[in-house]
Amino acid sequence: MITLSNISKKYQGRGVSTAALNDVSLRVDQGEFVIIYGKSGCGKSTLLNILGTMDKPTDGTYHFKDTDIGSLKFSELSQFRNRHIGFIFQSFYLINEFTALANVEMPLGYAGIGKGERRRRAEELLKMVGLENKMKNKPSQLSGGEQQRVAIARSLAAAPSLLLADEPTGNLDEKTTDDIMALLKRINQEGTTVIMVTHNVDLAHYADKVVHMADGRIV
Amino acid sequence: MRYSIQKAAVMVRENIKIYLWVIVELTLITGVLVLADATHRSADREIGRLSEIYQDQEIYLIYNFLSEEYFGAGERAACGITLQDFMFLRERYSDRGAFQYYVYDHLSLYEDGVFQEMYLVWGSEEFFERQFGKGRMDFGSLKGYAGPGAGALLSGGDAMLVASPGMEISIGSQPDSLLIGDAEYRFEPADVSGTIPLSQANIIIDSAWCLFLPIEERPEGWGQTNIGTTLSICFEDFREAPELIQEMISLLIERHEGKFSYRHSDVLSDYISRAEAILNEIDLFSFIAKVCLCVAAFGIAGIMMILVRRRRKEYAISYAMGAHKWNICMELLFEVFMVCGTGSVLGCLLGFLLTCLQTQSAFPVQFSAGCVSVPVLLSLLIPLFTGIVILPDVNAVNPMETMKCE
Ligand SMILES: Nc1ncnc2c1ncn2[C@@H]1O[C@H](COP(=O)(O)OP(=O)(O)OP(=O)(O)O)[C@@H](O)[C@H]1O
Ligand SMILES: [Mg+2]
Repeated sequence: MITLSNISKKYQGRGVSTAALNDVSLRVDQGEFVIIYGKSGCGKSTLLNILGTMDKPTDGTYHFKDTDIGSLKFSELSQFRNRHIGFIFQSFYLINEFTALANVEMPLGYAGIGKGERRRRAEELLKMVGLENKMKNKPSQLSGGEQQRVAIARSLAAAPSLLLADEPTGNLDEKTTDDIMALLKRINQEGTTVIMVTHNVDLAHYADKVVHMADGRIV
Repeated sequence: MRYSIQKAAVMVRENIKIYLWVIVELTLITGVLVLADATHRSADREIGRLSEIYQDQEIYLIYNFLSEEYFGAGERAACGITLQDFMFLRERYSDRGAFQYYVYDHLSLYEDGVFQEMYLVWGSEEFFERQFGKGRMDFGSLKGYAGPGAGALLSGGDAMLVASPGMEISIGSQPDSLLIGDAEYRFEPADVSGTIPLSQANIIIDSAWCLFLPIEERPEGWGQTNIGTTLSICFEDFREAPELIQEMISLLIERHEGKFSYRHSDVLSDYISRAEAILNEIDLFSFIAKVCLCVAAFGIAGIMMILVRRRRKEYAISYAMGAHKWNICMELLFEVFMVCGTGSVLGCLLGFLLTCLQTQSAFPVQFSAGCVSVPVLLSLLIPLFTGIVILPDVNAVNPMETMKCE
């Protein structure tokens, strides 16, 4: 489903240039659960952001199914993300002004889905992550684990084929981490491809494929 | 689009504490603007209404000119200008219609008794025609008019005579004699059109019409030597009046080489100058309100800029969720739009209330739909202005870098 060929990412600072990614090639098949792990600063987030089309590689090509991502414009990328990709972030990134429900509705809103249908699907997703009683709560009224579950529900709202998670458990305790991981595994088993970044090797057993990164390369 | 509106509505609700002040500010300013506009329109309408009423009509500017040269200062409460002055002004303003008249004192002409209630009036033929045209009478060499309140009006040639109502007047035994009550008077036109024995001067009236107007109620202060002068002058625009009066006064002063003093009252021009003063006040008022609105626009743009900066994370998340740049821009514009729209709608209501409540002005102030056009226009312009100011900021949001910083 995903083919990254010889991807490099260089950040051009004042006088210094950092190579965050160096000649990375990666294949991910439909329905796989991939865990990328490595030390801090090795380029995991950079790779994930490129996969999520939020960032562009300096070199190399990225094919998603038959689409060459490099050839898409900003507005086309928005649409692409909306249709195909769900994001989960380490610090949840929920909109504070919105209730859990409204947060989950967001990708559906941008997909142009009407209010009733949006609400119905969002409620369903929140039920799935076990938050049927907290749908009207704002992020500040939820625990970290609950916030992450809202974020997961949100990432699944537009029924993406690829779910990208950047250290989704980084801010959570062990018990909650297990819950979240179980949830991700379940989502993966229902057919969604999951690529997850972590520096916690203990989570590797959830994955079908483990990618180890160091210094901007896959080792 | 629909989602953007809904999202903007949530954002307004969630930021209501900030926006409340903006709304209050806009409401107050708009209210004042609406009031100013309503007052201005009403003043304009009032002046327009008066102009229409007086359009092409003579206005009787009743002036009590006091000429010291002719009447002696302080001696008598005399007022009026001399017939010469009157004729001079009439000549000067002949293009404004010949319908001035001049009232002589009756007692200087007639003995006690029969004619006590009569005044000798000098006027143009047109004037008499218009005033008494319908009641025109013709008795050979005697021409006459009868009109409401005028009793009868008779003339033997150049002069005319009006008897007061209730006074019995009929043609006497001769065609040029009149029976007034029981007494028969031979009416010699030459008596009147010749020398009029005014106490102050001998005045010759040539080919003029004279009229005795009955004065039923003697105005206060009118005495034996009172001479009332009425100049009726035709205006295109009644706002000319004050200027014209000033001009006439200057002419009279010049004519009497400075020995001419006067006092006058002119209700209409007082009214106009008051209305115009109010109008100026309103204009200043509404100018200040407009300046306030511009200041408010800058303030709102500033607030929005801060909000945009604070929300970069939200925008980055929105991009990750598949938002287009125009989604974000629309959301922001809708947001400002809702706030400004609410402010201006409330302001219109406030303006309406203020308009209904205010009773200070000299004329009725009415609220009309037109009064809200400026506020409504501005409520469209402020979001546009804000948009122009903040959209570069929105455009500059780089989703990736923003996410990393937060
Ligand atoms: N915008 C940027 N400009 C310059 N250098 C950058 C930028 N973003 C990332 N880097 C550099 O790229 C490298 C990879 O960063 P990245 O965020 O991918 O690391 P990571 O593997 O996700 O680390 P962590 O586990 O701490 O999140 C780092 O050395 C970082 O300093
Ligand atoms: Mg990272």
